[in-house]
Amino acid sequence: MRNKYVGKSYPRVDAYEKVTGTATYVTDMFFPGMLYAAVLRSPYPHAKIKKLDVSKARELEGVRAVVTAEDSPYRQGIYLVDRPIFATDRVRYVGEPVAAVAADSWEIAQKALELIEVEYEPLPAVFDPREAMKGEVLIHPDLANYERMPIYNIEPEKNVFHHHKTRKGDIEKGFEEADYIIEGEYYLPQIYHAPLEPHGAIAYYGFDGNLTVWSSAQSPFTLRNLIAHAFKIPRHKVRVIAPYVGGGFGGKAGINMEGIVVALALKVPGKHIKLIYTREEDIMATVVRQGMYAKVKAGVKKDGTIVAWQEEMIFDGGAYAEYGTNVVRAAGYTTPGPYYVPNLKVDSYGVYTNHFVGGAFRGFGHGELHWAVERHMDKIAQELGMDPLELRMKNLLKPGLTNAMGQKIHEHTGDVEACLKKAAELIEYGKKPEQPKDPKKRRGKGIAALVKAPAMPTNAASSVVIKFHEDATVTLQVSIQEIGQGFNTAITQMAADALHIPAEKIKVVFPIDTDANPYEWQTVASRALWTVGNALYRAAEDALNQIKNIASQVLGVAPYNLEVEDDRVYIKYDPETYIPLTDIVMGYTYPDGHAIGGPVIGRGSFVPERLTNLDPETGQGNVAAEWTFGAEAAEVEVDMETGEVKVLKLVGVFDAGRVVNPMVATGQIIGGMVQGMGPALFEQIKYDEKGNPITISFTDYKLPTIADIPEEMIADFVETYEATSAFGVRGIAEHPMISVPPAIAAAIYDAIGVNLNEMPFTPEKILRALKEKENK
Amino acid sequence: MIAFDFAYHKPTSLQEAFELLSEEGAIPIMGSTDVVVKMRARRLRPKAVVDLKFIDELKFFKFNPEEGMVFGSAVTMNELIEDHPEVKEHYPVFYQAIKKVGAYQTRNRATVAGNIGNSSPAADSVPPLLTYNAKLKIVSKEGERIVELKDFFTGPGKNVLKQGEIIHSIIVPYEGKSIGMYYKLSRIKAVDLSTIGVALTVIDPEGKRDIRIALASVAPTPLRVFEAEDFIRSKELTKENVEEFAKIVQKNTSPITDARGTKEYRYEMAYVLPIKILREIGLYKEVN
Ligand SMILES: Cc1cc2nc3c(=O)[nH]c(=O)nc-3n(C[C@H](O)[C@H](O)[C@H](O)COP(=O)(O)OP(=O)(O)OC[C@H]3O[C@@H](n4cnc5c(N)ncnc54)[C@H](O)[C@@H]3O)c2cc1C
Repeated sequence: MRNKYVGKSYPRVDAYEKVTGTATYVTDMFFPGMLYAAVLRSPYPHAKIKKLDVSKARELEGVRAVVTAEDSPYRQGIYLVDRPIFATDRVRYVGEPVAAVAADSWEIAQKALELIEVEYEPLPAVFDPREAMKGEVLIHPDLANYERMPIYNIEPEKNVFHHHKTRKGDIEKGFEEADYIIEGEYYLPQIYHAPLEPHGAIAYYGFDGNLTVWSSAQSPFTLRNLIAHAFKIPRHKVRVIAPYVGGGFGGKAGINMEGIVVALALKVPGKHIKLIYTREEDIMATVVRQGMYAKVKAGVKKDGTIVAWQEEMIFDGGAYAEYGTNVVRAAGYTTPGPYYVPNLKVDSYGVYTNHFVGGAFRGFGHGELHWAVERHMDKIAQELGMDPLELRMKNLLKPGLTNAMGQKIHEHTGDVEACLKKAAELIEYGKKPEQPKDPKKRRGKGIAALVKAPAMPTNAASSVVIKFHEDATVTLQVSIQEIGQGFNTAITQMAADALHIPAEKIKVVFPIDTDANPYEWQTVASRALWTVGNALYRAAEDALNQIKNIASQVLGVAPYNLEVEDDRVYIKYDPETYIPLTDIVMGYTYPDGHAIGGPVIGRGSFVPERLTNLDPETGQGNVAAEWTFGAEAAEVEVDMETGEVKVLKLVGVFDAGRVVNPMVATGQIIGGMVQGMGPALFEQIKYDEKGNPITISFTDYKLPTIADIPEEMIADFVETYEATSAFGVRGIAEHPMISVPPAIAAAIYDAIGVNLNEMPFTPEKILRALKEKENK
Repeated sequence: MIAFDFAYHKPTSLQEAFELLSEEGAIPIMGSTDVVVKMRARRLRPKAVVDLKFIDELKFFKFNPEEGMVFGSAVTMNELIEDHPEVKEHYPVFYQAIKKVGAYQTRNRATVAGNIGNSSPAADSVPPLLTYNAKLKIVSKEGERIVELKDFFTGPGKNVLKQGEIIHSIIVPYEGKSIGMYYKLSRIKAVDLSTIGVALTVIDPEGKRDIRIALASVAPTPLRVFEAEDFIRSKELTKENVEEFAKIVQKNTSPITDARGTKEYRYEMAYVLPIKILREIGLYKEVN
C-alpha cells in the first residue's frame, strides 16, 4: 500500500455542497403529487386506548389515508421487537404515535388529526426504573412473547428487558483483601441527540409491489432489513435511499419513524408520502439517551490498588427497548472501563419506564458507565488522599492484563497511559490554575480516562465495490452514511493509497441506495474506517490483481512483477515499460482489434474475526473487536455565589491507531467534547411529577452554543498501530463525548471541593453542594 | 409551520393599522419572534396578524438630553445596538440587556415594543427600562395616551393595552450619566431566557448616586423594587446597608419553579445578585 494520502488533512469532499447549501437532505426532496403525513400522539405517559375513531378524519376532503394499529399491526426493533408502529391497545409514553394521516397538504393533514377521536383511560405509570423493577406496574405484560435476539436476558416480571452480568475473579475474596471499601451512587438523566436535521422520511409503494423509502438514516441496510422484517416484505422489494444526514449521533441508527410513512404508503400505492418531524416530535418520539442510576462498591488497597469492583447500573430505558438493549449490555461488559480490576461483579439492567424511548446515543452506554466509574475513581482518590491521576495510572488496563470480559490486552490494543500522560501535559496538570481576583470565583482542573469498543453483533459486515471507468477514474461504493463525521473524505484517502491512484480520481457514490450499493451493517459504533477499511483493502487488492493480470498477459511478465502507480501499470524492474491504466481498466484491446479482460470491478467483504458471544452468567467471552483508549481533561471556573460554571479549557487525547485525516479527526474531537459539555452542564429531559415532558423544544432543552464553549480546546492523538486493521486505524468518533462530564466534575471538585454526582451540574446543584459542605 | 388559517396584513399607515386592528381576533406584530413561536405551538390563534413594521412613522430614533431617548416601536434591537451609539453611551444597562436577548438573528427581528407587548416576566429589556423610568406612548383610533412602563404590566402575558391600541414609541428620560449592570443568569449564555435577570442602574454615580433596581423572572411581572431604592438612597454602601438592601429586594420577589429554575434558587439569587453587581461595578468592596 502507498502512504500518500492517509495522515494528511485532505479537504473534505462534501465541503462544496455543504458550504453552498446545495447538499440534499430528505426535507429538500419533493415529488409530483406528493402527500404529507401527520401523526396523532399520546398525551398520556400510560393509558389504555378505550376508543379510537378515525372515521371523521377519513371523510375530510384531501385526506388519502388514515392508519392506526388496526391497519398496521406491526412491531419493530433491531434487537428486541417491542416497539409498535402505532400504539396497540395502550400508550406507554407521551408522544407515542396513535394514528397517522396522509393528505394532499400538511395543513389538511393537521386538520384531520383534530377530527380523530380517542378516549383514554389513564393507567398507573412508573418513571423511576428502580421503582419499575419492583414490578408493581407492568409496562410490557407480553414481554416474554416478543421476538428478540437470544443474547438478551429478559426479566418480564421486573420490567427488565436486559440484565447483563459480569462475574470475574472472586468478588468476596476481593473485598476481603481490600483495606478500604468505598461506595458511591451516581445518576444521569435522559438526554436528547439534537441533530440539526430532525428525522424525516418519504415512502413510495409502487403498483409493482416495490417499496422505496428515502430517509435521514444512519444505516440504510439495517433500515431496509427492519422495515422488511416488520412489514413482512421480501428484502429485494424494499429499497432505501439515504441522502445526507444532518447529524445522527445514534438517534438515526436502526429504524425509527420510517414505519409510519411505510404504513401510510402501503395504503396509497403510487403516491410519495413525506413526514418531517417537528423539533417537538423529534424530542418526544424518536429515541433519547437512557437515564442511569449506578451504585458502585470498590475494594481498594492502601497503596491505591483496586482489588474488587461491584456495580449495579439501572438504566431508564423508557417505554420501549428496541436498540437500547445493547446499550445496557455494552455498558455492562465494559465496566470498569480503562482500569484493571481482578475481581468484578457487574449487573447492568435495562428497565422499562413510561419515559421517552431510550436508544443508541453517541457513546452507546459508555458516557453512562464512565460517568460512574470516573466519578468513583475520584472518590477513591479523595478518600485515600491520593492524587486522582496517580490513582488512575496505578490501575490502568495495560498490556498483559485482561479486561472485564476476559480479553487479553496487547501492546497493539492501544495505550491509555500515553493518552493520560498527554492529556495531563496539555492541561498542565499539577500546575495550580491561576485564580481570578474575585475570591468568589475559583478555578480547578480535572482529568478522566475512557475506553470503548464498537458495540455490534459479532458478524456485523461491510463490503466495498470499486469500479474503474474509461479514463481510469474510480467510483467507490460503500454504504457507510456521511453523517458529518467525514467518512467520505477519509475513505477516499484510504482508497487512493490502497489503489495507488490520485485521490482526485476517486468519487464516493452518494447517496446510498440499497438497490445499488453493497451491504453495510450500520453507520454506528465508531467502526466505519476500521471495518470498511478492511473490506476496502480486499476490494483494492482485487481490482489491482485484475489490472495486473491483464497487464501481465500484454507485457509477458508475472503479475507480481507489476506495480500500479497513478496513471499506469509498470514493470517493477523496468519502470520505463508500462501500460496506461486507461488502456486496461475497460479491458485491453490489441492493435488488431481483439480484446482481453473487461471492466475492472474490485470487490471486498469483511466480517470481524474471531468474535464470540458472551457467557450469559459470567459475561466472559470475546465480543469486542478493537478498543480505543482516550483521556480528557478540563479546566473550569466556578462562581461560588451563583453556582455558574464556565469551562475554560478542554483537552481530548485518543489512541486512534493511525490518524487518517488530522483536520477531520480534530473536528470530530472538538465537536464531541462540546457535545459532552451539554449533559454535564445543562442538558436534561425533564418531566413533571405526572410524567409530562416539559423540555420538548429548544426553549427549554438547552444545548451548548458558541457562547458557552471554552476558548481553548485541544485535540491530540496517540498512534498505536491497530493490528486488526489493514490501515492500522481504530474509531474515535463517539469517544470525545464520553469522559467530558467526569473531567468537568473533577475540575469542579478541584476548584471548590464539592462532588457533583448527578448530571447536569446546574448552578442550583452546585450551590446546594457548597452549602452541604459548609454545614459539615 | 402554522397549522391554522389566519390573515396577514401589512399596513403602511397608522390609520390603516387602526382599521385592521379594530377587528375582533386581530393582533399587532413586529418581529413576530414571540408571536410565531406561540402560533406554531397553537398557544395563540389570532384570526389576523397586523404587521406594523412597515409603518414609517414607527421607525424613528432620537436622543437629546432634554427629551431623552425616544424610539418608534418598529426599531429592532440590533438597530438600537448598532446604529445608535447614544443607547450604549447614555443607557448602558439597557444596552447590555438587549444585547443578551436571544441570538444575533433574533435581534435582527425582535423589537423592544414586542418585548414589552409580549409582557413576559422574563422580558430582558424591561428591567433596565424600568430603572430608567421609561414611558410608553400608546395610540389608537381614539387618540393617544402616555403610560408609565411600571404601570403597564398586569400579569404574566397581560398588560393595560386595549383591543386596537398599539405601542407607538418608547420614551426614556435622560437623567444624567448612568452606570450599572444587567446580570442575566440563564442556563446557557445565548439564546436563552433569563432564569433571573437583575438590572441595577446608578444614575449620577459620582454625585447623587441614585441606585435603582428592577428584576426579571422573579414575579408575575417585571419588578422594580422602590422600597430597596428608598432604603439605600443617601446611605453609605457598608456591608450592613448593602445586605439590607439586597434583603429588601429579595423579600419583594415571589418567584415560581419552572423548566429554567426553582423558586428557591431564584429567591436566593434575588439576594445574591444585587450585591454581586454592586461589587462588580466597583461601588462596593466587601466580600462576604
Ligand atoms: C430564539 C429566541 C430567543 C429569544 N430570546 C429572548 C431573550 O433572551 N430575552 C427576551 O426577553 N426575549 C427573548 N425572546 C422573545 C422575543 O424575541 C422578544 O420578546 C422580542 O422582543 C419580541 O419582539 P417582536 O418584535 O418579535 O415581537 P412580536 O412577536 O411581533 O410581538 C410580541 C407581542 O407584542 C405585541 N406587540 C408587538 N408590537 C406591538 C406594538 N407596537 N404595540 C402593541 N403590541 C405589540 C404582539 O401583539 C405580541 O403580543 C426570544 C425569542 C426567540 C424566538
